[in-house]
Amino acid sequence: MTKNSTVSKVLEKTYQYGFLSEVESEKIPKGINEDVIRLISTKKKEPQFLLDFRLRAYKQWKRMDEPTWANINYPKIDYQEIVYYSAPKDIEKKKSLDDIDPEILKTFDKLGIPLNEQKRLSNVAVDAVFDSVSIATTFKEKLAEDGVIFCSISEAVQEYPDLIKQYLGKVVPINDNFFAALNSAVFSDGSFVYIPKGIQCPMELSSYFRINSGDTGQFERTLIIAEEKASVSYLEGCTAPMFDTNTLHAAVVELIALDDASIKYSTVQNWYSGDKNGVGGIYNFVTKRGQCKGRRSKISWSQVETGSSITWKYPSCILEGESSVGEFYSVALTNNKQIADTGTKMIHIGKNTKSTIISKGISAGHSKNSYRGKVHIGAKAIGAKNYSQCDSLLIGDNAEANTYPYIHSKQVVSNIEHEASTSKISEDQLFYLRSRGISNEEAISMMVSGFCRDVFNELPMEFASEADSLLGLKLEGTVG
Amino acid sequence: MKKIFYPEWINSIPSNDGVLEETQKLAREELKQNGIPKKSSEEWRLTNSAFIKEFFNLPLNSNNTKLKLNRIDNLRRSLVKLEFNNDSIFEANLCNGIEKLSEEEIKLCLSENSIRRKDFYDFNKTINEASNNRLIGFKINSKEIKSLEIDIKAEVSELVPTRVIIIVEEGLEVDILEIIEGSRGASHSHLIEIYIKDFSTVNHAIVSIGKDSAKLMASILVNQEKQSNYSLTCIQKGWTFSRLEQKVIQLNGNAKTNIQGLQIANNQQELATHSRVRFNGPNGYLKQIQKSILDDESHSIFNGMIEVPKIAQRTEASQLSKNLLLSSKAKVDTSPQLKIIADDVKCNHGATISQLSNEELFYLQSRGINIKKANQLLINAFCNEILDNLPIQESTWSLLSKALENIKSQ
Amino acid sequence: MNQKKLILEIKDLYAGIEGKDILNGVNLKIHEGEIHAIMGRNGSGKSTLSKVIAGHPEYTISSGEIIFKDKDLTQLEPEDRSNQGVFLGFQYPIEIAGVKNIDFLRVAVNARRKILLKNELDTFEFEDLVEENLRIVKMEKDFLERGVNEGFSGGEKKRNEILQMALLEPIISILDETDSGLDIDALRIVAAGINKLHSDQKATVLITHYQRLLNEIKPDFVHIMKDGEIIKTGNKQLAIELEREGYENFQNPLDKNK
Repeated sequence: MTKNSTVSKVLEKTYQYGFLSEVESEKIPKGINEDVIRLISTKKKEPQFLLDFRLRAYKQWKRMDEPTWANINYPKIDYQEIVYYSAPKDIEKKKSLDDIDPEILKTFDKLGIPLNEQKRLSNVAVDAVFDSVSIATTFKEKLAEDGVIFCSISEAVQEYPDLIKQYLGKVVPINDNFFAALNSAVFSDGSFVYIPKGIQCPMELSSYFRINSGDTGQFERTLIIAEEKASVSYLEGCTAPMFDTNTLHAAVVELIALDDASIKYSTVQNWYSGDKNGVGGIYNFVTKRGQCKGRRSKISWSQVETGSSITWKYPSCILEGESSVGEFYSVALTNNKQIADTGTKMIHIGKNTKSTIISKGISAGHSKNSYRGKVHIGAKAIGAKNYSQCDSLLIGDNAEANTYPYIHSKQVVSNIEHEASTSKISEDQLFYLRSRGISNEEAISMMVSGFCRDVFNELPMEFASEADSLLGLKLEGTVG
Repeated sequence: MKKIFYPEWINSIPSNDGVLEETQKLAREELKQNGIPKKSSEEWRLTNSAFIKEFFNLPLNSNNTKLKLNRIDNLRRSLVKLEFNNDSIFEANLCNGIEKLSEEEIKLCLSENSIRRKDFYDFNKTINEASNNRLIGFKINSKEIKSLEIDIKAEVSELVPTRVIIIVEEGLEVDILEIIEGSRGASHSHLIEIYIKDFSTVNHAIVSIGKDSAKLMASILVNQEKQSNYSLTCIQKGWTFSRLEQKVIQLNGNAKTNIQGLQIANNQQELATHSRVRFNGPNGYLKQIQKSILDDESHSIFNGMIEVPKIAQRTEASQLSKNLLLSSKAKVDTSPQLKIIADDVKCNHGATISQLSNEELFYLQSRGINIKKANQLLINAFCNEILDNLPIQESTWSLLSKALENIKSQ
Repeated sequence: MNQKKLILEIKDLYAGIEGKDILNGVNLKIHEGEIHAIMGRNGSGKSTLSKVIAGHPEYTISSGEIIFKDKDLTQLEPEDRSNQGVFLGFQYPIEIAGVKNIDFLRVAVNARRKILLKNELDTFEFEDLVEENLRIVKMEKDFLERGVNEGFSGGEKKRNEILQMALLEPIISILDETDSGLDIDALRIVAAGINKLHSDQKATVLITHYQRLLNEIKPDFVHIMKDGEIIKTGNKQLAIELEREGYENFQNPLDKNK
């Protein structure tokens, strides 16, 4: 009894990023049709090929059905009730940070992402996306010295149309799935990264996504290309205000790594998760996929998923190049009525390809946390290796933890190992920590962090501590 | 307009006017409605539906199924011969300790099992119920009955539906061995239901061996009461197509379940095990290990689901799928799944897919064992973990020994 | 001689687990500066006594009091007892994978320092403090980077316990079978640590099977426990007698009267 009440106390938390900024924005009317798509394309002054791309996607999307296979129940989304483009007013005119609505700068300050030159982080370049539009990208010039391109995807469409034409929609085809098709039709903004041959990107790149308006869908699109022997580490963070309606977030991320290139993509996802009763929150339906195109290329996904009312994403690797490597490190924490259905697909095509999957799920409250993963070893993937480990931790007896691994192999010379476990916080461990004077709350939080250690070790330094404290926040009763 | 599923075939099956009438009607209706399961359903997406269709091109076996029920005491076999083709099976030669189920009891079992969920189409069972006109149902109520043998053998190109219901009363210990053999294009549809009452132990083995393009679809449905022990070992070999579905429910938890499986496939065979274990109460225990060996262009499927609802606190469950690929054209699909709501549980599962270890082969070769023999030794070792665990003394079971010879000579 | 202050008093303590009675009326007084040894066979209730004092949630107290520095402990959470200065050295320290030893130690020490009205130590200050104390138990620094007790040998686990005792500066330390599983060298290191940490203001309770630990640490009092009661109290000599004659010869005086 006392135990239960302390545990539930520990689980109460408030969302500290739930504030709404007063920013005047320009929205197009609700709904989706060809005219809306043309309008978005016109607003963004896009070349014809991109408009064609969007229209093709829209045609595909209209023919597709919303997927239901994951047995995730949510009220039907009315796609005509969503605003597909929203931008802070007069955004085009702004050339420098000084011109940006101070309210927006304040928003990012509050989120811990200061954009102005005095305060900004010295070793991380940031692309800040507010609703549908990229607000600012820091350190662009410095990166350009090495030939690294880091800008919003809208800007890339204008400046580097050939690269966009060559790579957009190649890893995630427009008809890949329902939400990817929708994104391809209406995507608003996102980040573009290009690392030229032989360059190790000199600093961490990061995008920060903020949904501000309540009825606007967020459809960002990210494309990262690492040429031969190039490498980059990219971070992504997300928050949104508290609304009692659900907002759809359907992003597409495409990564391409050529020979000997490596891309590390880290996400800390903290969209608003809805309240205790599951009212409001973001539907986070995201398609993320990387193509290890070159030999010895490497793509590593790491994610800490704590927000959103429903998360539905499987960052994947297509291991095409010989000896290419795919990695997936994930922590997903769900509480209250949250649902997370996440995992990865490792598609082994090339010889001697290797993949590692480490997934840690923590379910508390009445939440549902599922790992769903696929390991596919193709007939030509001689010497392919996969190791998967999926652990679940249950807190309280109303939470659900599911593990659905799918393993398919056609290759005799391959090695696949999958391990999974489900347990609760051990009373003996808890007592040991408490007998050393550590409070119940802190002890649980320490053990949860300990449970996630393998994954946190994979996060970039700045993120590891952020992730740790984020989990702490989610679990602790006290938030400053 | 929805196309009706194999209407001529369904209409050609003789209908039952006895205890099975109602079940049969329902099942036929369901079969007509749903037909062959869709690829989009999780349970059937990996199955090659061409194999299933072949079931419906076969005439229905009418009266010559050889199903024998043997009772074995002290290494001696005293035959209780049961045949499906007339009602006298229920009367003939039933020894002490075995009692025929009354019509009411059978009806009760059928209705308990027939509560169909709208969103779940149990095709394996439906095809059996739709075509089956015969059923053996009995209960074991004495400690005298230590072991039973059920032989089902078919040698003609026919669809052979068989159904057995066994109730094991409280506080007993019984070994049940089923040997299913098929050849010359015979297709089995077998359904066995076992109800294990409190404090009883059942060691159940199914050794199924096919040849000459024989096929098998079997469902094993087990309900365990508290403090019961159930151990199941399933061996599949030689079928062109076989699909075993195991559903074990611990009705009130507090029971032990052990499941072992071995699938040995070659040529273009497709062997599958779909298992589902559900704990409807606390303190349940499950240990499951499923192995497959694949050669040539064969395909092995394992789909395992463990469900631990909120009521099933202190459940301990483990599930392991181990697969040995011997050929570059064979393929494995394995999916050990956990669905857990109770928080005070210990569950783990694992899966491995690998080939024979070169290190081990080399070690054996360096001791003068030729490569072929070395391969054989390692494959045997892989199988033995399951075969050694057969709950029944091999020596008492002549048919089993024969079947095992067959398996080991892979 | 000055009147020594009473640190811990156990009054007629009855306690058990899952409805099973284990402690059947334990009485014990411990003053500052004293070293007590509690001896007894397996199942006599020694370990239960230590866990009940530390507040293990599985044990229920049916009656009696545990007075620590004039306050009844029985209603306090385990962490509060620790913060007040009660330390339990576990017989089997549990492994906690993933939680780094150094992080764990820092959080624990800072919780205690808060009660002692000392300032919180930052990472660097804490590292200095730990390094000083590592010498007491002759441990290498790399232990700090590993998970709490994760993959530690038996001896390393026990030394880690003494390290925690050194860092937390408890008023009373109850050490449950600290000598078990140790070879003679490790036993000496651990015993030297305990002796070093003992002082006139503190009290130490050794729970042990054998008297070999008592050759290294000299107790002022030796208690024999049986069936959940202290049946005899004496000095060091009692432990020697016990070793020589075995537990069989020690009967509860009350039983004898029956």
